[in-house]
Amino acid sequence: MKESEFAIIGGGPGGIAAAIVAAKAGVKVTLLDENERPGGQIYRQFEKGYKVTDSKVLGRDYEKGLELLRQFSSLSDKIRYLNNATVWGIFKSRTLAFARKGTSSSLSFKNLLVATGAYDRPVPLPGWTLPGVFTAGGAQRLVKTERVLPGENILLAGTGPLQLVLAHQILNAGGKIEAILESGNISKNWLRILMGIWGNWDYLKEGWRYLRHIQKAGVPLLRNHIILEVHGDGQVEEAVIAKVDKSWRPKPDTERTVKVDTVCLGYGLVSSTELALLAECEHKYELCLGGYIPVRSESMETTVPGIYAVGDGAGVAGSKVAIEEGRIAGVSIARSLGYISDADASTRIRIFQKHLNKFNRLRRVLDEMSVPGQGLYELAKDDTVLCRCEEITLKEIKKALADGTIQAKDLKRMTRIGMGACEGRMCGPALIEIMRYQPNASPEGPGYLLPRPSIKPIALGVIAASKQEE
Amino acid sequence: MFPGEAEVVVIGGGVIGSSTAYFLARAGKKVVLVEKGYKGGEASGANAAFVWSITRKPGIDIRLAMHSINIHRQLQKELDRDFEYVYNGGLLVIEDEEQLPFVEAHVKARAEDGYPLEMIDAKQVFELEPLLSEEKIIGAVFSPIDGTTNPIFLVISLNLQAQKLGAKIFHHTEAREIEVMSGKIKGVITDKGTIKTNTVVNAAGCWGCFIGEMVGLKVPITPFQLAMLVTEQLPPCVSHPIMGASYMVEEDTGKEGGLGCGLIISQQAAGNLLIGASWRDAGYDKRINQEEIELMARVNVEAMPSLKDVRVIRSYANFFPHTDDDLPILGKVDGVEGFIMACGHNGHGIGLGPGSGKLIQELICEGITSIPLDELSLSRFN
Ligand SMILES: Cc1cc2nc3c(=O)[nH]c(=O)nc-3n(C[C@H](O)[C@H](O)[C@H](O)COP(=O)(O)OP(=O)(O)OC[C@H]3O[C@@H](n4cnc5c(N)ncnc54)[C@H](O)[C@@H]3O)c2cc1C
Ligand SMILES: Cc1cc2nc3c(=O)[nH]c(=O)nc-3n(C[C@H](O)[C@H](O)[C@H](O)COP(=O)(O)OP(=O)(O)OC[C@H]3O[C@@H](n4cnc5c(N)ncnc54)[C@H](O)[C@@H]3O)c2cc1C
Repeated sequence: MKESEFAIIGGGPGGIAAAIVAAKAGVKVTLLDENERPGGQIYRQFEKGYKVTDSKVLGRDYEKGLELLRQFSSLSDKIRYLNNATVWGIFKSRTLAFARKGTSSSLSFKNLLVATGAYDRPVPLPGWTLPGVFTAGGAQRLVKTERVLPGENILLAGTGPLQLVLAHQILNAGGKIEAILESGNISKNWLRILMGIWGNWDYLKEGWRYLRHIQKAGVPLLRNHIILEVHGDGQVEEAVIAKVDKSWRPKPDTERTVKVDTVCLGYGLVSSTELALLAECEHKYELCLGGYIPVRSESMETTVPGIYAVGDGAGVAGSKVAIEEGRIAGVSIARSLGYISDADASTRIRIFQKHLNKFNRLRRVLDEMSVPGQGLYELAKDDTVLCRCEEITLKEIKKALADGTIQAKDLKRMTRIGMGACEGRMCGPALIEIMRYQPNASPEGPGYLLPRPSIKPIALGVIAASKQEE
Repeated sequence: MFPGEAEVVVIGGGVIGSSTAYFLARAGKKVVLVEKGYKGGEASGANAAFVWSITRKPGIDIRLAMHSINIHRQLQKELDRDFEYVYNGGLLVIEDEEQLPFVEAHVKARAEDGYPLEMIDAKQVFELEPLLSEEKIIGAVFSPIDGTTNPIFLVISLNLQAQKLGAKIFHHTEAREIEVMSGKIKGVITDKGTIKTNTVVNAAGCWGCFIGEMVGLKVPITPFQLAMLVTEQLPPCVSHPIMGASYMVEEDTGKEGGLGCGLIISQQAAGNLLIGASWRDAGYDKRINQEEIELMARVNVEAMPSLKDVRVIRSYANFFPHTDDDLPILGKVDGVEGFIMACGHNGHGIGLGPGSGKLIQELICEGITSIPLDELSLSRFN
């Protein structure tokens, strides 16, 4: 089997930026991504048939991303790009397995970059499984790629800037928003915000633009508010909301009900770490960055030599951070393969690092504002389903916890939580938060649900039709 | 509070240790179980879940299996928490002419020993399991008493009930040393403290050899890897646990490091199919490799073509405690009074677990067992 000197999983800004700098240095790159076209979450392209001209719906970042995508496609002779390729396993023999076009293949690699991005933080609350409840990301996908509004009268509930982006996009597409609930406390942190924003004017400008748009449309932006429950008979009919204190716990006598047919929950993102975990990279817990994330060196290398991780998959920090991290990883790998000199690499990494520091300053401030308060994970009631695949309720989890189970992986055995098709992507993050706050919680933390291949559902026939990559 | 003493200390919280602790507690013994990880965290939590007799050989092997099946059924009535044990018969399917003589010889030997088996033809097989490939399967052995259980739930259930009856169970507690004085057990030293006792049960599965070393015994148990696939949940479609007859022929494949695979298909109560099983000599390594996954997919899709559209959501590999004669090591040992072996259950520990626990309890409490354990003693390897 031929070995790839540099394989990248994920064609988002992080993976693409790494591919570009490495390929330009002469590295032979293979990039795998599960989508039809490159771009990842933010530059998610329209399905065929749509024209990519309407930047009003798409937002400014999209325009900037197009430049990155143009560079990527201009290097098509140097980058082997495998679209529609779902990576379903990484094995100890430094190979990865991927499904593509009805067969499964294996690719061995010398260096690997995991740039798998992030997904919406799932937040179990009463009624969250009702039709009409979306994640903010899911709703955004509808508006952006399918140009469909998620509903007629929409409530946005969550925290952080992505909510504003979604609101902007819904309004642009002609939708009606009942209100936007922001659970974080923004006003208190204004001094830190100013310090963090220093040098990040374009981010600020963009945010400002969204805010103005929302105000002009007359949509109330309710700070220090949270959604408690969603009600409805087979479909969302109303939501119960309340004011919260600084731990995001509801203040007494502030509850009220709003009539809506759609709820979008946007409590930030959590990293997709299944593949880095499978590769046995060490992970540490960082609530702001999206839970357990890989431990990395300055050159973005994980604790497993030759395996790197960048972007939202290694700690949620946005597309600009993903790009700079991707560049650092790309240059580091080119150096380790001998394509560029140490001196050249160091100079370039210093520049990328400077950009990174600037963006990170802003991120830290945004993070502090939007880090989930403890109250968020107290919304679920005994009969609220935590694990949607296996229909495991909070009550069953509490029973196992009372039995002295302190590690997430043991709880999985006890209750079957996380044993469904999503392999714990939906319930894992909430489970970890709930376990962290237990009175008998282990000081080392609950750990995580260990993923096992296949990390995404793959048909047996596809695996049976496996072949070795040339 | 960590106990300073106990009548019996059981080392290992898999199916063997858990059922031993349960039966001892039920008999009124002050029993403490120590488990270095978590209950059912090793082989007993990651296996094919068959409670099986078809492939068991004449003699002590089939007697242990039959005895344990009865105890399994008894537990189903006795334990508060359900463990999804169902037995509406199992199938050993014959995949080609080459397997036939091995199967026929086995069926004949079993009949001679008084444990007959029923051979059925291809037509009868498809009546039982319509999804099996008509091109691939030429017949089967059917055993109406075989079935599947939920091994994790079985272990949990045994633990909970043992605790209710007064057993003390400590997870994340590792036995580090065993105190012996003048040839007699005096206590077990764990990382949480020392427990004084005169009786220790070695139910440490693949680690049974290390526990043996603690009292100066050589226990010939080695880990042997088996791997399985789990599919998405489906409506009921496979009604009997199915095993390929290659297990009767190729028993030794893989033991020199090679890779092997034999057909295994069953459906869990939750609707997932459990598909297997590949085997490999991998020491104490639990990681699965890609070839194993691919081999399992190929072998099983060939036998049941409609599986090709069913999606795999997970896989797992674990190792079972292998002995050279495929039989467990049960009972007292020469030279160390109070040390009792209960490990080495090979690929049959789930089926044999309840029975082994009962036998060890009888040995400790009554000194005599309902099945004689002579053939299963450690000294048979000398
Ligand atoms: C739902 C959502 C909406 C967002 N909206 C905005 C926005 O409006 N404005 C903004 O500034 N930022 C937004 N962000 C953040 C921004 O998209 C990310 O910060 C940025 O895309 C991170 O880049 P990345 O390269 O790390 O990951 P991504 O862009 O997420 O790219 C990861 C890629 O890896 C692929 N992948 C993952 N696992 C596998 C696998 N096993 N096999 C093959 N391929 C795989 C994914 O399909 C994806 O294409 C959003 C993020 C999300 C999740
Ligand atoms: C993939 C697979 C499929 C299988 N399929 C079947 C099947 O279908 N039917 C069947 O009957 N059998 C099957 N088996 C075999 C069966 O799983 C085992 O025989 C059985 O689980 C052994 O149980 P045990 O309690 O001896 O071992 P284990 O479950 O391994 O328990 C031993 C315990 O001892 C603990 N321990 C070890 N050292 C110490 C120490 N120093 N201190 C404290 N604790 C310690 C370990 O942590 C472990 O939990 C299968 C096995 C595998 C791997």
